[in-house]
Amino acid sequence: MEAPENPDISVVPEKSPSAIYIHIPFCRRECYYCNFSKYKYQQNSAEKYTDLLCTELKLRRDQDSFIKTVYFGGGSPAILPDAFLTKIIEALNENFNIGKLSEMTVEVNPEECSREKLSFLKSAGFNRISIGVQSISDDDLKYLARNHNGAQSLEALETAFKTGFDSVSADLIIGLPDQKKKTLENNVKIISSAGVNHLSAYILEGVKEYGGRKSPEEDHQSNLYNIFREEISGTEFEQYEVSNFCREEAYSEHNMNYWEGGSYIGAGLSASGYENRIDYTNYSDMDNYSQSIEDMKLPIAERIENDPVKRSLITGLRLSKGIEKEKFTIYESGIRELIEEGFLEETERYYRVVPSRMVVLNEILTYLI
Amino acid sequence: MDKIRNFSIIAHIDHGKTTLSDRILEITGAVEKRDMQEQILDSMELERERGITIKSHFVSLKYKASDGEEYTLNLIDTPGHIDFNYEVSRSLSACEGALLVIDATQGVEAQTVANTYLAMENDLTLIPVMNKIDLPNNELEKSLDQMENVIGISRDEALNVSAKTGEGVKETLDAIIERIPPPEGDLDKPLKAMIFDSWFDPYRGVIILVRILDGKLNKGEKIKFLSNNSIYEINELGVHTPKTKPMKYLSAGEVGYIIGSIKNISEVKIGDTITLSKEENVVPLPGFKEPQPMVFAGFYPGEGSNHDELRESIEKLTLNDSSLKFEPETSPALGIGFRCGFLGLLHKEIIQERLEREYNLSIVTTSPSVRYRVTTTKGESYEIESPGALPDPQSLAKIEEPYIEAIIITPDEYLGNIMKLLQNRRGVHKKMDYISSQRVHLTYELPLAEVLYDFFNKVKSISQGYASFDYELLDYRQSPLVKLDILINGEPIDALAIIVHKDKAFSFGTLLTSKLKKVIQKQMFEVNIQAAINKRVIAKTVVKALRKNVLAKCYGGDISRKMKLLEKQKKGKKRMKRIGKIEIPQEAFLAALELDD
Repeated sequence: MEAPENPDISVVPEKSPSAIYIHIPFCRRECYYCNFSKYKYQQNSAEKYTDLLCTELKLRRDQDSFIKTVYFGGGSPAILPDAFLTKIIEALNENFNIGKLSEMTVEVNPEECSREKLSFLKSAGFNRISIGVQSISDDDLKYLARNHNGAQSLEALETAFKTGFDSVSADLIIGLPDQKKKTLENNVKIISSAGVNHLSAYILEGVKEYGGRKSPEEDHQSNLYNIFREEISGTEFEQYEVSNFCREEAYSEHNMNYWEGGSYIGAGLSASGYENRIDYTNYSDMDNYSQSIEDMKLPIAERIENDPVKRSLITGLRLSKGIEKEKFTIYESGIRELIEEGFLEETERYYRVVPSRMVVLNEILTYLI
Repeated sequence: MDKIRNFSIIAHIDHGKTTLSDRILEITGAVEKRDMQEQILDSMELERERGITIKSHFVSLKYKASDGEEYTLNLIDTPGHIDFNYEVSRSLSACEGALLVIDATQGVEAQTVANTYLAMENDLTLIPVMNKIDLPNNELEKSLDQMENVIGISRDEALNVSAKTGEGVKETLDAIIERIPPPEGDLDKPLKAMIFDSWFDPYRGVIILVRILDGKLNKGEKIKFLSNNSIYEINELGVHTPKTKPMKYLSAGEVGYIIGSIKNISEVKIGDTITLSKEENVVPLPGFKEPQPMVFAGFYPGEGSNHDELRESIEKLTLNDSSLKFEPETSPALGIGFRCGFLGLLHKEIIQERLEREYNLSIVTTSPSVRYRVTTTKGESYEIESPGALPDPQSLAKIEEPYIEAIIITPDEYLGNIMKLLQNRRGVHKKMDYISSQRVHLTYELPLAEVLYDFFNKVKSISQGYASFDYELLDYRQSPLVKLDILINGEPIDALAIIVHKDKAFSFGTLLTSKLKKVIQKQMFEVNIQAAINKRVIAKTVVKALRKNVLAKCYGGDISRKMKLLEKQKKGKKRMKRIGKIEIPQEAFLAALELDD
């Protein structure tokens, strides 16, 4: 099917940014399956980076917008010493209206979850923490070459609650080559009852066979994904996005803003933002990034004005609630075909992906666009 | 006229024809060495890439021979592939002689023989040139033996040449002057000229190459084509040296180009006779034929291209290639497209590549087909060019298919396997001669359709590249043929149907469905593939539905990355055709071409 041309963009309202993403590109060690921009942590380079980031925030100064969410991702943001994190938060304060912030998230690894660190993060203003648990199976963690074991994962969650975080998310990875159904069931059972109010479950991607390491098979991953979904449905959690689940409507407000087409500012190495209908991405190499900032220029490597309706189709169908029918009439004929084939379904106002078919979302999207 | 020599160079592919032409151009000073671009005469990009000459070219050279006199040598380059045999034959008829180039490291090959026959039919004086004698592995004596045995030319006539180093090239030029007779013709007779090539130049219009046989043609005169009596005024005429050199007139014995008020190349027919518009009693030259397409295929716009663009582009190509035929065709599976007729498979590939490369189109082509003659039970007879057009078996009285006479020359160690292949392809053995102690010359009659399906490659791989093949159309013969339908999710896909011999239908069906399973990628929907004859399913297989294709992570809100990835996946489907909800890749339509025997 031919994609329609010149769509009516008025269906996607332009909004001033309400979210800021901060990228911290350092890790204690690099995970082979991760393709985010990151460097091995060294204090002097982290210090220099902190200064660059603060300058970038100054360059992006915006006193007209009201920021509701801030997200520190990486890399491993919590690897930064407290003083550096404080500096970044101060820079946020100086340059943006973050007085009415409702969500401020930081990603942490279990081995970083000392009581001291988490207390600091809490006092620094973070009210949501996303812990890279991945799995509580030691076999899984070994395959993933993580720095922690299953017991440490649970301990980290425990510490987070004790430090006073009400909003805790656990990141899980599913679809490892030898991952058992039982392991997944265990993960769901134990972690969902550990008190977290949010789960992200990402299908392992981009692992090539290497040495004795196997790469996962598509059928296996698809099965595990759907097993995971079924297990979750027996708990208080509900799925609200391809990889995200929560209870008591504890959605990741920050990420919802991405999927619902809201504007956001991205800062830091390789960070992405979306402002004035332009998607931009910063340099992902430190040389270009630092050079730009030293020249007092925004370190943007690429700006793309994506077709806004296509963009919101692609992001919107990731959400379980789906997309508003009236905004996507131009894709209707393809959508109808996929409803007939059992890939999409409709409610009175929405089209959405049949949950068990989320796992072929890319096929659905390429069929439509 | 006695200072003119018109000659051609004929050879098997890769025997060094173009290199020899280039060396001749260099030695006669037509092209300075520093301007020498590899292989001057192959000007089309595709020709150079494939190393073959597709359109013929001509160059007029001045040469001071060893007798001290200056001669005009008109070198007419001929296409080097069987698909273009008619054009070769017409180019040869514009000459009095030809250099027969034989690669001394390879010996006599099928095209050497076929081209020699063509030259002999046109009464040309042949000068055998043993090329590549600079190579240490040359087998000069063996090659000379083969020439004497197969072609019947004495070894004493052969010249030893290395087109690469230039050795023997001057002697070759002298031999052209000594051995090839000057053209005959009567200046006082009315104009009679033969068209041997034409093409469309976007700046200058239709350019025609002619050989003047009698009389004289002046710039500004009105001419007429005897095949259709159309009349045109000559705006320009001259020669290529290879630079264009306009002249006032061309006269008997000469070769040159003419440009007239001709808008459409399809009015210009190779082999046609030209005279002045006022002449009434000029008899056309013999041998003229309308070019006959032998191979047919459907061309359809792929994803991202549309029907109008495709039509405009094919029309533009026909401006330059009057042998390309096309007409609109509607396929239930592929939509609106064109059934195109080609001189052969290579011609088809070239057209397809030019559409993709020069016009930036994405094209889906169907399996090639020959032209069948069908007679219905009601007694109606007509020709069909696509399997989809075959009537139901109930109303079909008989089908006839084109047969060819094939020449194959092979080292005898591969003889058994070559003969087995020919037998598999329904070949009828006619003749077998040893042309030297280890080389065999085979003559077979076989259906043209059998040659379309990966025959060349098979011959080459069986013989490790040493066997060569050429053919000529013979006649039409009745055969017990059936249509093999391919059904995708229960729907017959006309573009995948093929016509096969009934004894082969079952094995073809099995091979074809399993080949299709390999080329059709997993997708959202399960794909059921069936082969059927007269609605009876004889083979089936399934491509299971894709189980996973999703970007799980949110990548810090990097939406562009997601969109790029999806656009890339979408683009990967460009050479596919969506039939119903199933994406069928181009390879599927050509799957029948590469089935194992």
